Amino acid sequence: MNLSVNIAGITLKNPIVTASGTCGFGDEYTPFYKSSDLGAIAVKGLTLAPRLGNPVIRIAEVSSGILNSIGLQNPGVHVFMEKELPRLKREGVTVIANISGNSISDYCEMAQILSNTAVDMIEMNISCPNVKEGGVAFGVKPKTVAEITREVRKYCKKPLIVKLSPNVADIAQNALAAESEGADVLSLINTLIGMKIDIHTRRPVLHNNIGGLSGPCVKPVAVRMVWQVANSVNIPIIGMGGIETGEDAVEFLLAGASAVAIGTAAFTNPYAPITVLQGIEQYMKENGIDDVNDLVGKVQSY
Amino acid sequence: MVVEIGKIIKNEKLSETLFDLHFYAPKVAKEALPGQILQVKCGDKVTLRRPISICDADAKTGILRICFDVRGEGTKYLSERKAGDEIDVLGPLGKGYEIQKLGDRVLLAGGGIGTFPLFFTANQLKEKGILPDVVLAFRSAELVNMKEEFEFLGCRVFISTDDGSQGFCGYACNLVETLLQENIYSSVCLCGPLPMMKTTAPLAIAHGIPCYASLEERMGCGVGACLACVCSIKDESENGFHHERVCADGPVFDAKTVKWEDCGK
Repeated sequence: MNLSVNIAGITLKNPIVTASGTCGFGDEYTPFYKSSDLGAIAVKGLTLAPRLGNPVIRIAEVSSGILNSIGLQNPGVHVFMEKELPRLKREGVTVIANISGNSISDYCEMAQILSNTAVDMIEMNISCPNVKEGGVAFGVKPKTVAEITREVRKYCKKPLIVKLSPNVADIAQNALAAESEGADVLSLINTLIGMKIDIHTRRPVLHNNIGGLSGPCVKPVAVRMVWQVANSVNIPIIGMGGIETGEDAVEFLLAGASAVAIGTAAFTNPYAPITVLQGIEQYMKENGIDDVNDLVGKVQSY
Repeated sequence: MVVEIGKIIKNEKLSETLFDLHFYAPKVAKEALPGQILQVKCGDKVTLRRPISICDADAKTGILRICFDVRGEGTKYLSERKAGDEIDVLGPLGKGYEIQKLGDRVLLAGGGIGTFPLFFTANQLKEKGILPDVVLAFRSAELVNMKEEFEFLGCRVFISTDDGSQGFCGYACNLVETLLQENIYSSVCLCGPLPMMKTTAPLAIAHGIPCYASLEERMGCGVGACLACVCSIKDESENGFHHERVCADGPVFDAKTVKWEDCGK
Protein backbone atom coordinates (compact mmCIF):
# COMPACT_ATOMS: atom_id res chain seq x y z
CA MET A 1 0.00 0.00 0.00
CA ASN A 2 1.40 3.42 -0.91
CA LEU A 3 0.64 6.25 1.48
CA SER A 4 3.31 8.66 0.28
CA VAL A 5 2.38 11.77 -1.63
CA ASN A 6 4.46 14.24 -3.58
CA ILE A 7 3.72 17.89 -2.96
CA ALA A 8 5.64 20.29 -5.19
CA GLY A 9 8.64 17.95 -5.41
CA ILE A 10 8.70 17.15 -1.69
CA THR A 11 7.85 13.58 -0.74
CA LEU A 12 5.65 13.25 2.32
CA LYS A 13 5.76 9.69 3.70
CA ASN A 14 2.02 9.93 4.25
CA PRO A 15 -0.61 12.59 3.61
CA ILE A 16 -0.84 13.69 7.26
CA VAL A 17 0.35 17.17 8.22
CA THR A 18 -0.19 18.98 11.51
CA ALA A 19 -1.89 22.35 11.13
CA SER A 20 0.15 25.41 12.02
CA GLY A 21 -0.49 26.71 15.53
CA THR A 22 -1.79 23.44 16.92
CA CYS A 23 1.44 21.51 17.43
CA GLY A 24 3.94 24.17 18.52
CA PHE A 25 7.32 23.29 17.07
CA GLY A 26 6.58 19.61 16.98
CA ASP A 27 8.03 18.49 20.29
CA GLU A 28 5.02 18.81 22.59
CA TYR A 29 3.43 15.69 21.16
CA THR A 30 6.51 13.45 21.41
CA PRO A 31 4.97 11.46 24.30
CA PHE A 32 2.37 10.31 21.76
CA TYR A 33 4.10 9.99 18.38
CA LYS A 34 7.23 11.03 16.54
CA SER A 35 6.84 14.06 14.31
CA SER A 36 8.86 12.15 11.72
CA ASP A 37 6.07 9.55 11.56
CA LEU A 38 3.88 12.16 9.87
CA GLY A 39 4.04 13.56 6.35
CA ALA A 40 5.07 16.98 7.63
CA ILE A 41 4.79 19.38 10.55
CA ALA A 42 3.59 22.94 9.91
CA VAL A 43 5.16 24.84 12.79
CA LYS A 44 3.65 27.66 14.82
CA GLY A 45 3.20 30.83 12.75
CA LEU A 46 6.43 32.83 12.65
CA THR A 47 6.99 36.56 12.42
CA LEU A 48 10.23 38.50 11.90
CA ALA A 49 10.33 39.77 15.49
CA PRO A 50 9.10 37.81 18.52
CA ARG A 51 5.44 38.39 19.43
CA LEU A 52 3.80 38.12 22.86
CA GLY A 53 0.41 37.34 21.39
CA ASN A 54 -3.00 38.49 22.61
CA PRO A 55 -4.13 38.87 26.23
CA VAL A 56 -6.19 36.02 27.66
CA ILE A 57 -8.91 34.75 27.28
CA ARG A 58 -7.59 33.18 24.08
CA ILE A 59 -9.86 30.18 23.65
CA ALA A 60 -13.57 29.49 23.89
CA GLU A 61 -15.57 26.36 23.30
CA VAL A 62 -18.58 26.40 20.99
CA SER A 63 -20.84 23.65 19.65
CA SER A 64 -18.58 21.09 17.95
CA GLY A 65 -15.61 23.38 17.86
CA ILE A 66 -13.53 26.13 19.38
CA LEU A 67 -12.75 29.78 18.86
CA ASN A 68 -9.16 30.92 19.33
CA SER A 69 -7.35 34.21 19.29
CA ILE A 70 -3.79 33.38 20.25
CA GLY A 71 -2.44 36.29 18.25
CA LEU A 72 0.66 34.69 16.75
CA GLN A 73 2.66 34.35 19.95
CA ASN A 74 6.04 33.15 18.70
CA PRO A 75 9.75 33.63 19.40
CA GLY A 76 10.49 35.07 15.96
CA VAL A 77 11.94 33.49 12.86
CA HIS A 78 15.56 33.72 14.03
CA VAL A 79 15.00 31.87 17.30
CA PHE A 80 13.09 29.21 15.35
CA MET A 81 16.04 28.76 12.99
CA GLU A 82 18.58 28.54 15.82
CA LYS A 83 16.70 26.56 18.44
CA GLU A 84 13.95 24.54 16.81
CA LEU A 85 14.84 23.79 13.21
CA PRO A 86 18.15 21.93 13.84
CA ARG A 87 16.37 19.58 16.26
CA LEU A 88 13.48 18.97 13.85
CA LYS A 89 15.88 18.16 11.01
CA ARG A 90 17.97 15.87 13.24
CA GLU A 91 14.77 13.98 13.99
CA GLY A 92 14.11 13.60 10.27
CA VAL A 93 10.96 15.73 10.26
CA THR A 94 9.63 17.31 7.07
CA VAL A 95 9.18 20.93 8.14
CA ILE A 96 6.76 23.51 6.83
CA ALA A 97 7.64 27.00 8.10
CA ASN A 98 4.51 29.13 8.44
CA ILE A 99 5.12 32.88 8.07
CA SER A 100 3.08 36.02 8.83
CA GLY A 101 3.89 39.68 8.54
CA ASN A 102 2.78 43.31 8.59
CA SER A 103 3.86 44.15 5.11
CA ILE A 104 4.81 42.51 1.86
CA SER A 105 8.44 43.25 2.63
CA ASP A 106 8.15 41.33 5.95
CA TYR A 107 6.97 38.28 4.06
CA CYS A 108 9.69 38.67 1.44
CA GLU A 109 12.39 39.01 4.09
CA MET A 110 11.23 35.90 5.95
CA ALA A 111 10.92 33.91 2.73
CA GLN A 112 14.46 34.92 1.83
CA ILE A 113 15.88 34.05 5.27
CA LEU A 114 14.10 30.70 5.40
CA SER A 115 15.09 29.82 1.85
CA ASN A 116 18.66 29.49 3.12
CA THR A 117 17.69 27.00 5.83
CA ALA A 118 16.77 23.34 5.94
CA VAL A 119 13.00 23.96 6.01
CA ASP A 120 11.25 21.91 3.36
CA MET A 121 8.45 24.28 2.44
CA ILE A 122 7.25 27.75 3.31
CA GLU A 123 3.60 28.36 4.06
CA MET A 124 2.53 31.96 3.65
CA ASN A 125 -0.25 32.78 6.07
CA ILE A 126 -2.27 35.62 4.59
CA SER A 127 -5.33 34.79 6.60
CA CYS A 128 -4.67 34.99 10.35
CA PRO A 129 -7.88 36.52 11.71
CA ASN A 130 -6.43 37.35 15.11
CA VAL A 131 -3.93 40.14 14.61
CA LYS A 132 -3.94 43.25 12.48
CA GLU A 133 -0.54 42.21 11.23
CA GLY A 134 -1.64 38.66 10.43
CA GLY A 135 -1.66 39.36 6.76
CA VAL A 136 -5.40 39.05 6.49
CA ALA A 137 -5.38 42.35 4.59
CA PHE A 138 -3.53 40.52 1.80
CA GLY A 139 -5.69 37.45 1.88
CA VAL A 140 -9.12 38.84 1.16
CA LYS A 141 -9.10 40.03 -2.46
CA PRO A 142 -7.69 38.23 -5.50
CA LYS A 143 -5.73 41.34 -6.48
CA THR A 144 -3.79 41.50 -3.20
CA VAL A 145 -3.36 37.72 -3.06
CA ALA A 146 -1.76 37.97 -6.51
CA GLU A 147 0.43 40.89 -5.51
CA ILE A 148 1.88 39.35 -2.36
CA THR A 149 2.37 35.94 -4.00
CA ARG A 150 4.22 37.57 -6.92
CA GLU A 151 6.58 39.49 -4.61
CA VAL A 152 7.25 36.66 -2.14
CA ARG A 153 7.83 34.26 -5.03
CA LYS A 154 10.85 36.33 -6.04
CA TYR A 155 12.54 35.61 -2.70
CA CYS A 156 11.22 32.16 -1.92
CA LYS A 157 13.50 29.39 -3.14
CA LYS A 158 11.50 26.68 -1.39
CA PRO A 159 8.14 25.31 -2.47
CA LEU A 160 5.66 28.06 -1.60
CA ILE A 161 2.35 27.19 0.01
CA VAL A 162 -0.28 29.93 0.16
CA LYS A 163 -2.72 29.43 3.02
CA LEU A 164 -6.12 30.72 2.02
CA SER A 165 -8.75 32.40 4.15
CA PRO A 166 -12.32 31.13 4.06
CA ASN A 167 -13.57 34.59 5.04
CA VAL A 168 -13.83 35.76 1.43
CA ALA A 169 -16.42 36.18 -1.29
CA ASP A 170 -15.06 33.56 -3.69
CA ILE A 171 -12.17 31.40 -2.52
CA ALA A 172 -11.63 29.94 -5.99
CA GLN A 173 -10.73 33.39 -7.31
CA ASN A 174 -8.09 33.81 -4.58
CA ALA A 175 -6.77 30.34 -5.32
CA LEU A 176 -6.43 31.19 -9.01
CA ALA A 177 -4.69 34.44 -8.15
CA ALA A 178 -2.12 32.62 -6.00
CA GLU A 179 -1.59 29.92 -8.61
CA SER A 180 -1.15 32.41 -11.44
CA GLU A 181 1.62 34.22 -9.52
CA GLY A 182 3.62 31.15 -8.73
CA ALA A 183 2.24 29.44 -5.63
CA ASP A 184 3.28 25.77 -5.67
CA VAL A 185 0.68 24.55 -3.20
CA LEU A 186 -2.48 25.88 -1.58
CA SER A 187 -3.53 25.10 1.96
CA LEU A 188 -7.08 25.65 3.15
CA ILE A 189 -9.00 26.50 5.13
CA ASN A 190 -7.71 28.83 7.80
CA THR A 191 -10.24 29.47 10.58
CA LEU A 192 -13.61 31.09 10.03
CA ILE A 193 -14.10 34.29 11.99
CA GLY A 194 -16.51 33.84 14.87
CA MET A 195 -17.62 35.31 18.16
CA LYS A 196 -19.00 34.14 21.49
CA ILE A 197 -20.69 36.37 24.03
CA ASP A 198 -21.07 35.65 27.74
CA ILE A 199 -24.70 36.64 28.28
CA HIS A 200 -24.19 37.04 32.04
CA THR A 201 -21.35 39.54 31.81
CA ARG A 202 -22.49 40.78 28.38
CA ARG A 203 -18.90 40.69 27.23
CA PRO A 204 -17.22 38.69 24.49
CA VAL A 205 -15.58 35.56 25.87
CA LEU A 206 -12.38 36.22 23.91
CA HIS A 207 -10.33 39.25 24.90
CA ASN A 208 -9.85 39.92 21.19
CA ASN A 209 -13.68 40.01 20.86
CA ILE A 210 -13.53 37.78 17.79
CA GLY A 211 -11.52 34.71 16.95
CA GLY A 212 -10.97 31.85 14.56
CA LEU A 213 -13.47 28.99 14.49
CA SER A 214 -12.15 25.46 14.03
CA GLY A 215 -13.10 21.90 14.80
CA PRO A 216 -15.75 19.53 13.45
CA CYS A 217 -18.27 22.36 12.95
CA VAL A 218 -16.23 23.85 10.08
CA LYS A 219 -15.66 20.61 8.19
CA PRO A 220 -18.52 20.87 5.65
CA VAL A 221 -17.43 24.41 4.76
CA ALA A 222 -13.83 23.27 4.39
CA VAL A 223 -14.72 20.27 2.23
CA ARG A 224 -16.82 22.50 -0.02
CA MET A 225 -14.01 25.04 -0.38
CA VAL A 226 -11.38 22.37 -1.11
CA TRP A 227 -13.71 20.97 -3.77
CA GLN A 228 -14.30 24.38 -5.33
CA VAL A 229 -10.60 25.24 -5.34
CA ALA A 230 -9.60 21.81 -6.69
CA ASN A 231 -12.00 22.36 -9.56
CA SER A 232 -10.29 25.65 -10.36
CA VAL A 233 -6.54 25.11 -10.03
CA ASN A 234 -3.91 22.58 -11.10
CA ILE A 235 -1.59 22.81 -8.09
CA PRO A 236 -1.82 20.47 -5.08
CA ILE A 237 -3.95 21.28 -2.05
CA ILE A 238 -3.39 20.58 1.63
CA GLY A 239 -6.93 20.35 2.98
CA MET A 240 -7.91 21.02 6.56
CA GLY A 241 -10.85 21.94 8.77
CA GLY A 242 -12.33 19.74 11.47
CA ILE A 243 -10.66 16.46 10.53
CA GLU A 244 -10.90 13.96 13.40
CA THR A 245 -11.02 10.56 11.70
CA GLY A 246 -9.79 8.69 8.66
CA GLU A 247 -13.25 9.04 7.13
CA ASP A 248 -13.06 12.82 7.50
CA ALA A 249 -9.65 12.84 5.81
CA VAL A 250 -10.90 10.66 2.94
CA GLU A 251 -13.63 13.24 2.28
CA PHE A 252 -10.96 15.90 1.82
CA LEU A 253 -8.89 13.63 -0.44
CA LEU A 254 -11.93 12.86 -2.57
CA ALA A 255 -12.75 16.58 -2.72
CA GLY A 256 -9.31 17.17 -4.22
CA ALA A 257 -6.76 17.55 -1.41
CA SER A 258 -3.44 15.72 -1.90
CA ALA A 259 -2.67 15.89 1.81
CA VAL A 260 -4.63 16.79 4.93
CA ALA A 261 -3.79 18.73 8.07
CA ILE A 262 -4.95 17.87 11.59
CA GLY A 263 -5.37 20.63 14.15
CA THR A 264 -8.08 21.01 16.76
CA ALA A 265 -8.69 17.24 16.92
CA ALA A 266 -5.35 16.82 18.71
CA PHE A 267 -6.69 18.85 21.65
CA THR A 268 -9.25 16.14 22.33
CA ASN A 269 -7.15 13.19 21.19
CA PRO A 270 -3.39 13.78 21.25
CA TYR A 271 -2.98 10.78 18.94
CA ALA A 272 -5.31 12.34 16.33
CA PRO A 273 -2.76 12.53 13.46
CA ILE A 274 -1.97 8.82 13.92
CA THR A 275 -5.66 7.93 14.37
CA VAL A 276 -6.46 9.69 11.10
CA LEU A 277 -3.58 7.99 9.28
CA GLN A 278 -4.69 4.57 10.49
CA GLY A 279 -8.25 5.40 9.47
CA ILE A 280 -7.13 6.24 5.94
CA GLU A 281 -5.23 2.92 5.75
CA GLN A 282 -8.30 1.08 6.98
CA TYR A 283 -10.50 2.74 4.36
CA MET A 284 -7.99 1.87 1.62
CA LYS A 285 -7.88 -1.76 2.75
CA GLU A 286 -11.64 -2.04 2.86
CA ASN A 287 -11.99 -0.51 -0.57
CA GLY A 288 -9.09 -2.25 -2.30
CA ILE A 289 -7.11 0.92 -2.90
CA ASP A 290 -3.34 0.48 -3.15
CA ASP A 291 -2.26 4.08 -3.58
CA VAL A 292 -3.61 6.97 -1.57
CA ASN A 293 -3.08 9.23 -4.58
CA ASP A 294 -5.85 7.31 -6.33
CA LEU A 295 -8.34 8.94 -3.98
CA VAL A 296 -7.40 12.51 -4.74
CA GLY A 297 -10.18 14.43 -6.45
CA LYS A 298 -12.19 11.28 -7.09
CA VAL A 299 -15.52 12.57 -5.84
CA GLN A 300 -18.14 11.91 -8.51
CA SER A 301 -19.91 15.22 -8.44
CA TYR A 302 -23.42 15.64 -9.81
CA MET B 1 2.25 12.09 30.27
CA VAL B 2 -0.17 9.54 28.86
CA VAL B 3 -3.75 9.12 27.76
CA GLU B 4 -5.31 6.48 29.95
CA ILE B 5 -8.81 5.05 30.08
CA GLY B 6 -9.40 4.71 33.81
CA LYS B 7 -12.18 3.00 35.71
CA ILE B 8 -14.35 4.94 38.12
CA ILE B 9 -14.45 3.51 41.65
CA LYS B 10 -16.83 6.05 43.14
CA ASN B 11 -18.28 9.44 42.31
CA GLU B 12 -19.58 11.00 45.48
CA LYS B 13 -21.69 14.12 45.67
CA LEU B 14 -20.20 16.41 48.33
CA SER B 15 -22.68 19.25 47.89
CA GLU B 16 -25.18 20.53 45.33
CA THR B 17 -22.45 21.12 42.73
CA LEU B 18 -19.33 19.50 44.17
CA PHE B 19 -18.20 15.98 43.28
CA ASP B 20 -15.45 13.73 44.61
CA LEU B 21 -14.41 11.22 41.97
CA HIS B 22 -12.08 8.29 42.62
CA PHE B 23 -10.78 6.23 39.73
CA TYR B 24 -8.21 3.61 38.85
CA ALA B 25 -5.62 4.76 36.30
CA PRO B 26 -2.29 3.22 37.32
CA LYS B 27 -0.09 4.80 34.65
CA VAL B 28 -1.23 8.32 35.49
CA ALA B 29 -1.21 7.63 39.25
CA LYS B 30 2.39 6.42 39.07
CA GLU B 31 3.61 9.66 37.48
CA ALA B 32 1.40 12.16 39.32
CA LEU B 33 2.94 14.89 41.46
CA PRO B 34 1.19 17.38 43.77
CA GLY B 35 -0.24 20.40 41.96
CA GLN B 36 -0.31 18.73 38.57
CA ILE B 37 -3.47 18.61 36.51
CA LEU B 38 -5.38 16.20 34.32
CA GLN B 39 -7.23 16.97 31.11
CA VAL B 40 -10.40 14.95 31.41
CA LYS B 41 -12.51 14.04 28.41
CA CYS B 42 -16.15 14.83 29.13
CA GLY B 43 -18.05 12.77 26.58
CA ASP B 44 -18.30 13.23 22.84
CA LYS B 45 -20.40 16.39 22.87
CA VAL B 46 -17.72 18.80 24.06
CA THR B 47 -14.59 19.45 21.99
CA LEU B 48 -12.14 20.37 24.72
CA ARG B 49 -11.04 18.29 27.65
CA ARG B 50 -11.53 19.87 31.09
CA PRO B 51 -8.47 20.69 33.19
CA ILE B 52 -8.91 19.41 36.76
CA SER B 53 -6.30 19.35 39.52
CA ILE B 54 -5.27 16.07 41.10
CA CYS B 55 -6.66 15.93 44.64
CA ASP B 56 -4.74 12.80 45.50
CA ALA B 57 -2.88 9.97 43.78
CA ASP B 58 -1.49 6.71 45.06
CA ALA B 59 1.22 5.14 42.94
CA LYS B 60 0.87 1.83 44.85
CA THR B 61 -2.85 1.31 44.38
CA GLY B 62 -3.10 3.19 41.06
CA ILE B 63 -6.00 5.23 42.39
CA LEU B 64 -6.48 8.93 41.67
CA ARG B 65 -8.92 11.38 43.11
CA ILE B 66 -10.28 14.55 41.54
CA CYS B 67 -12.81 16.93 43.05
CA PHE B 68 -14.71 19.30 40.82
CA ASP B 69 -17.47 21.85 40.77
CA VAL B 70 -20.17 21.51 38.12
CA ARG B 71 -19.69 24.66 36.04
CA GLY B 72 -20.98 23.69 32.62
CA GLU B 73 -21.72 20.93 30.16
CA GLY B 74 -18.38 19.14 30.58
CA THR B 75 -18.36 18.92 34.36
CA LYS B 76 -22.08 18.08 34.35
CA TYR B 77 -21.28 15.05 32.18
CA LEU B 78 -18.53 14.08 34.59
CA SER B 79 -20.85 14.43 37.60
CA GLU B 80 -23.20 11.88 36.02
CA ARG B 81 -20.56 9.14 35.73
CA LYS B 82 -21.01 6.16 38.02
CA ALA B 83 -18.78 3.52 39.59
CA GLY B 84 -17.65 1.11 36.88
CA ASP B 85 -17.81 3.73 34.09
CA GLU B 86 -14.72 4.60 32.09
CA ILE B 87 -12.92 7.94 32.38
CA ASP B 88 -10.53 9.16 29.68
CA VAL B 89 -7.72 11.23 31.18
CA LEU B 90 -4.66 12.94 29.70
CA GLY B 91 -1.93 13.57 32.20
CA PRO B 92 -0.36 14.19 34.56
CA LEU B 93 0.35 17.63 33.13
CA GLY B 94 2.54 20.55 34.02
CA LYS B 95 4.65 21.47 36.98
CA GLY B 96 3.19 21.37 40.46
CA TYR B 97 4.46 22.27 43.93
CA GLU B 98 8.05 21.09 44.23
CA ILE B 99 8.02 19.35 47.59
CA GLN B 100 11.81 19.45 47.96
CA LYS B 101 11.80 23.25 47.59
CA LEU B 102 9.19 23.96 50.25
CA GLY B 103 11.33 23.57 53.37
CA ASP B 104 10.11 22.09 56.64
CA ARG B 105 7.51 24.64 57.81
CA VAL B 106 5.00 24.88 55.01
CA LEU B 107 1.78 26.88 54.99
CA LEU B 108 -0.85 25.68 52.52
CA ALA B 109 -3.66 28.15 51.82
CA GLY B 110 -6.63 27.09 49.75
CA GLY B 111 -9.78 28.95 48.83
CA GLY B 112 -13.02 27.27 47.76
CA ILE B 113 -12.28 24.30 45.53
CA GLY B 114 -8.60 25.30 45.59
CA THR B 115 -8.35 23.26 48.79
CA PHE B 116 -8.36 19.97 46.88
CA PRO B 117 -4.94 19.95 45.14
CA LEU B 118 -3.36 21.06 48.41
CA PHE B 119 -4.44 17.76 49.95
CA PHE B 120 -2.11 15.82 47.61
CA THR B 121 0.61 18.31 48.54
CA ALA B 122 0.00 17.79 52.28
CA ASN B 123 0.03 14.04 51.81
CA GLN B 124 3.38 14.11 50.01
CA LEU B 125 4.85 16.46 52.62
CA LYS B 126 3.71 14.09 55.35
CA GLU B 127 5.57 11.24 53.64
CA LYS B 128 8.69 13.35 54.05
CA GLY B 129 7.88 13.83 57.71
CA ILE B 130 6.61 17.37 57.30
CA LEU B 131 3.16 18.34 58.57
CA PRO B 132 2.08 21.59 56.96
CA ASP B 133 -0.26 24.15 58.48
CA VAL B 134 -3.37 24.60 56.39
CA VAL B 135 -5.65 27.59 55.82
CA LEU B 136 -8.98 26.71 54.24
CA ALA B 137 -11.02 29.72 53.18
CA PHE B 138 -14.65 29.74 52.08
CA ARG B 139 -17.47 32.18 51.56
CA SER B 140 -19.58 30.55 54.22
CA ALA B 141 -19.74 27.59 56.66
CA GLU B 142 -21.85 25.36 54.42
CA LEU B 143 -19.11 25.42 51.77
CA VAL B 144 -16.36 24.20 54.10
CA ASN B 145 -14.66 21.08 52.73
CA MET B 146 -11.60 18.92 53.40
CA LYS B 147 -11.22 20.10 57.04
CA GLU B 148 -11.43 16.62 58.57
CA GLU B 149 -9.16 15.10 55.94
CA PHE B 150 -6.35 17.57 56.59
CA GLU B 151 -6.86 17.14 60.34
CA PHE B 152 -6.72 13.37 59.92
CA LEU B 153 -3.26 13.79 58.39
CA GLY B 154 -2.29 15.65 61.52
CA CYS B 155 -2.15 19.16 60.03
CA ARG B 156 -3.04 22.27 62.02
CA VAL B 157 -6.12 23.52 60.15
CA PHE B 158 -7.37 27.11 60.22
CA ILE B 159 -10.77 27.88 58.72
CA SER B 160 -11.87 31.28 57.52
CA THR B 161 -15.24 32.30 56.16
CA ASP B 162 -16.09 35.60 54.53
CA ASP B 163 -19.26 35.89 56.62
CA GLY B 164 -17.81 34.56 59.85
CA SER B 165 -20.20 31.62 59.97
CA GLN B 166 -17.29 29.32 60.83
CA GLY B 167 -13.79 29.95 62.09
CA PHE B 168 -12.02 33.22 61.44
CA CYS B 169 -14.25 35.96 60.01
CA GLY B 170 -12.64 37.45 56.96
CA TYR B 171 -10.71 36.60 53.86
CA ALA B 172 -7.89 34.11 53.38
CA CYS B 173 -5.40 36.98 53.16
CA ASN B 174 -6.38 38.28 56.60
CA LEU B 175 -5.90 34.88 58.21
CA VAL B 176 -2.66 34.22 56.36
CA GLU B 177 -1.31 37.62 57.42
CA THR B 178 -1.99 36.75 61.06
CA LEU B 179 -0.17 33.43 60.70
CA LEU B 180 2.77 35.00 58.88
CA GLN B 181 3.33 37.23 61.93
CA GLU B 182 4.61 34.10 63.68
CA ASN B 183 7.61 34.17 61.33
CA ILE B 184 7.90 30.40 61.27
CA TYR B 185 7.16 29.47 57.67
CA SER B 186 9.66 28.31 55.07
CA SER B 187 7.17 28.58 52.18
CA VAL B 188 3.53 29.27 51.28
CA CYS B 189 1.54 27.32 48.69
CA LEU B 190 -1.60 28.94 47.32
CA CYS B 191 -4.52 27.56 45.36
CA GLY B 192 -7.83 29.30 45.00
CA PRO B 193 -9.82 31.96 43.22
CA LEU B 194 -7.78 34.74 41.64
CA PRO B 195 -8.84 37.49 44.10
CA MET B 196 -7.73 35.26 46.98
CA MET B 197 -4.31 34.59 45.45
CA LYS B 198 -3.85 38.19 44.30
CA THR B 199 -4.37 39.43 47.85
CA THR B 200 -2.50 36.66 49.64
CA ALA B 201 0.64 36.25 47.50
CA PRO B 202 1.96 39.79 48.16
CA LEU B 203 1.81 39.15 51.92
CA ALA B 204 4.11 36.13 51.74
CA ILE B 205 6.38 37.98 49.34
CA ALA B 206 6.52 40.98 51.72
CA HIS B 207 7.60 38.62 54.49
CA GLY B 208 10.35 37.30 52.22
CA ILE B 209 8.81 33.82 52.18
CA PRO B 210 8.88 31.80 48.96
CA CYS B 211 5.32 31.60 47.66
CA TYR B 212 3.99 29.26 44.97
CA ALA B 213 0.59 29.80 43.37
CA SER B 214 -1.47 27.52 41.17
CA LEU B 215 -2.97 29.48 38.27
CA GLU B 216 -6.00 28.72 36.17
CA GLU B 217 -6.66 29.69 32.57
CA ARG B 218 -8.89 28.55 29.71
CA MET B 219 -7.00 25.63 28.28
CA GLY B 220 -6.77 24.07 24.83
CA CYS B 221 -4.39 21.19 24.17
CA GLY B 222 -3.06 20.72 27.73
CA VAL B 223 0.41 19.77 26.48
CA GLY B 224 1.88 23.21 25.76
CA ALA B 225 1.33 23.26 22.01
CA CYS B 226 -1.54 25.68 21.39
CA LEU B 227 -0.55 28.61 23.64
CA ALA B 228 -4.13 29.32 24.71
CA CYS B 229 -3.64 29.14 28.49
CA VAL B 230 -0.87 31.66 29.03
CA CYS B 231 -0.08 33.88 31.99
CA SER B 232 2.29 36.84 32.20
CA ILE B 233 5.61 36.23 33.94
CA LYS B 234 7.82 39.22 34.78
CA ASP B 235 11.28 39.40 33.25
CA GLU B 236 14.07 41.81 32.33
CA SER B 237 12.98 42.20 28.72
CA GLU B 238 11.86 45.43 27.09
CA ASN B 239 8.22 44.48 27.69
CA GLY B 240 8.94 43.56 31.28
CA PHE B 241 7.17 40.21 30.92
CA HIS B 242 6.66 37.20 28.72
CA HIS B 243 3.95 34.59 28.44
CA GLU B 244 4.25 31.13 29.93
CA ARG B 245 1.87 28.23 29.50
CA VAL B 246 -0.29 27.33 32.50
CA CYS B 247 -0.64 23.72 31.28
CA ALA B 248 3.05 23.02 30.67
CA ASP B 249 5.16 25.63 32.49
CA GLY B 250 2.64 25.78 35.38
CA PRO B 251 0.01 25.54 36.73
CA VAL B 252 2.18 26.32 39.78
CA PHE B 253 4.36 29.41 39.43
CA ASP B 254 6.67 31.30 41.77
CA ALA B 255 4.21 33.99 42.93
CA LYS B 256 6.78 36.78 42.88
CA THR B 257 7.36 36.28 39.14
CA VAL B 258 3.66 36.42 38.23
CA LYS B 259 2.37 39.67 36.77
CA TRP B 260 -0.82 39.45 38.77
CA GLU B 261 -2.46 42.49 37.19
CA ASP B 262 -2.60 40.61 33.86
CA CYS B 263 -4.35 37.57 35.35
CA GLY B 264 -8.06 37.19 34.81
CA LYS B 265 -8.38 40.16 32.49
